[in-house]
Amino acid sequence: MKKKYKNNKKFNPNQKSFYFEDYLETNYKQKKISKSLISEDRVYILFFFFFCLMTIFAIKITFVSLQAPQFLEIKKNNLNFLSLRRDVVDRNGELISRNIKAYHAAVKPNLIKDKQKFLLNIKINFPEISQEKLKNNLSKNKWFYLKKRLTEEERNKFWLMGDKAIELESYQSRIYPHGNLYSHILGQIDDDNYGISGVESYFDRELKDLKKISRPLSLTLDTNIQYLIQNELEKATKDFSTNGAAGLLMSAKTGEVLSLVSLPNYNINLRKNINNDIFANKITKSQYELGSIFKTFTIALALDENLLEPESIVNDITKNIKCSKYVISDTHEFSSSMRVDEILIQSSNVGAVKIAEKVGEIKFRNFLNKLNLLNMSKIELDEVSTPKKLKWNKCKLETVSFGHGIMTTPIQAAAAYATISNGGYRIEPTLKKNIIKSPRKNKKIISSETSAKMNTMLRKVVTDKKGTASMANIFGYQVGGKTGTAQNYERKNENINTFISVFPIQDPNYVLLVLLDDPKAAPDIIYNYKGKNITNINRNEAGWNAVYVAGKIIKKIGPILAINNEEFHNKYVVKKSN
Amino acid sequence: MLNKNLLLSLFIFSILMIFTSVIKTQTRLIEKKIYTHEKKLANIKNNLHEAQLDYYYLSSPQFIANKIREYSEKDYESIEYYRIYFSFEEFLSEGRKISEIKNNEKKIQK
Repeated sequence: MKKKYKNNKKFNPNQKSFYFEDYLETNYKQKKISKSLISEDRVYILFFFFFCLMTIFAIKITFVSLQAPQFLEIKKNNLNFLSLRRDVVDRNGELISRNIKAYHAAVKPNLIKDKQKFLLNIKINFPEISQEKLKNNLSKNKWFYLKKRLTEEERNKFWLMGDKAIELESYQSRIYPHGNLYSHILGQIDDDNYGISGVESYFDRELKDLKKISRPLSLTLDTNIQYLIQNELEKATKDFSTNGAAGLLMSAKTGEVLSLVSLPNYNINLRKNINNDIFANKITKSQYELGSIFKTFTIALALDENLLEPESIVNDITKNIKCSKYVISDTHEFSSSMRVDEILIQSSNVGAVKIAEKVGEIKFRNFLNKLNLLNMSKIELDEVSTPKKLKWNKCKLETVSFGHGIMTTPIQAAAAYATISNGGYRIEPTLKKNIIKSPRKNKKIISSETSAKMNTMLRKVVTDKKGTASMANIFGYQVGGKTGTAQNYERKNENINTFISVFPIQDPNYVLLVLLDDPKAAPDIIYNYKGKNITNINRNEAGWNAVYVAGKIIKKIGPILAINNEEFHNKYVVKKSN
Repeated sequence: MLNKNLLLSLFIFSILMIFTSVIKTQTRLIEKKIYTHEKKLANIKNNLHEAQLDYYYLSSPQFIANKIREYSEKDYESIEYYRIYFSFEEFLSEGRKISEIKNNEKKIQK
């Protein structure tokens, strides 16, 4: 029996009594446990849902936190005035163009309580606003502009009226603090912030680049020099009763334009439509026969081709030469044999023709082409004219040799002078600062030797007794240059007088061009001619006006250029104590 | 056991919630301060923007020349190049040179 139980695994030898299971109670307990398990599951589910909800909120909070800077940015943007166009500054960082917040006044007719009172208010404060037009607009009962481009004073008046119907609508306006000074360079923008002329149009995309909005666009111009040149040209316009005048100061080595003046000018802040030709940019847009300044190119080519030297004698300089139907003559009689430098110094037309004939038409044409006198100038302005195509028919070589029968813009002529005097390197005039390449990397048009010889001759035009530009001999600045007196191509009884100067001549840094449109003789002016004061001069050649003006300009701008260029000062400016 | 875990997680959650709300409130206060400062800064910047424009207008050569004409009959005159010095030392050495020349002249006259 014992054995039988021993084999039974469930048998417990220590068990002394029997255990009777109460199935009813066990079921009850099990039910209780299963119920508690269900409630536990419910809590877990509830907790899970709660957790999910919290996770969603957390994600949302994180998302909002990440979005917060942008939200703040919008707030900031509402506070700050964000210009839609970059500032424009000159080479010294002086502001010359900036966007500001301005206002238009508009009317919401449906908000007007008393129309008669409103009309009376407007009449009292703004008598210039037409009452009839206003009544007409009000009768349409639609939103309309009452006055555009308000001044600060007008805006305050509207504000003080305190009428709900008047809405002050803000917009961005472009302001030019120097008014007339840069009218031919900066140009204007339209109401939609698009540049429509000048630099504003040429650099439109760059000026609207929002990535660079905080950085101003730097130009090569110098406000002080621009003012001084403009001031002298304005005086010259009065003194010589000219139709207009123009001036250009450019770096001979880099082509940087320091000043570009064209008179008459206009106030760009007034935003008027200007259609009269007289307001064209005389430096880049107008084309002229510039006359004797072309003799420099004729002689430079002859020297560069080793056909002549400055001391070479040119014979057979007659009173006049007949070429087809044209008679080429000089303003006064010269000796029949002249040295090459004398031809330039005394400006002999016949002498220049003789030299050109030695050079030949093809070489001369190619040379003018290389000097960029036959192509369009590449300055950063929209107002640049394309030269008329030159027909090289009979006598063209002869007339072009002394600057007739060829139309160029003054900026092309000045750039060609820079090339002749800077060692022979071609330069492109530019208005944008910091894009200048070393001139030595540019194409070489003439040799350095020819350039040096030409500079010596140009200096003699100013210093020689018989030179045509002695009034530009400003002490300390070593000025060289060439005059040009030519007939106006369109108005034959009028003259275009030009003087292109280069200084300091030992190592030319600057090219200054002065152009006067039909200057008259000015007998009242006291000229300092070769150290003597003379007056009552009834002559109107370039030497008596354009050179005189250039001399005055150099005297005024010279110290500024010297300050900007220490090397120039140390090398060329003679000290008082020496 | 179950209650303990639940309570612990709820406790931690509540603590974190309180911390979050405190931090958020503090951040909001800081944000408000930042906004106030930014408002002030924007005003200053706007004023500077306009003041710069005024400055460049009032200091433009044309305006100054007009003012000179208004108050005196003199026209603008540029400084002579020999009066330009690049440093004070240069000015002094030139002064010494001039005084030496003058002294020598006096000696010769005597």
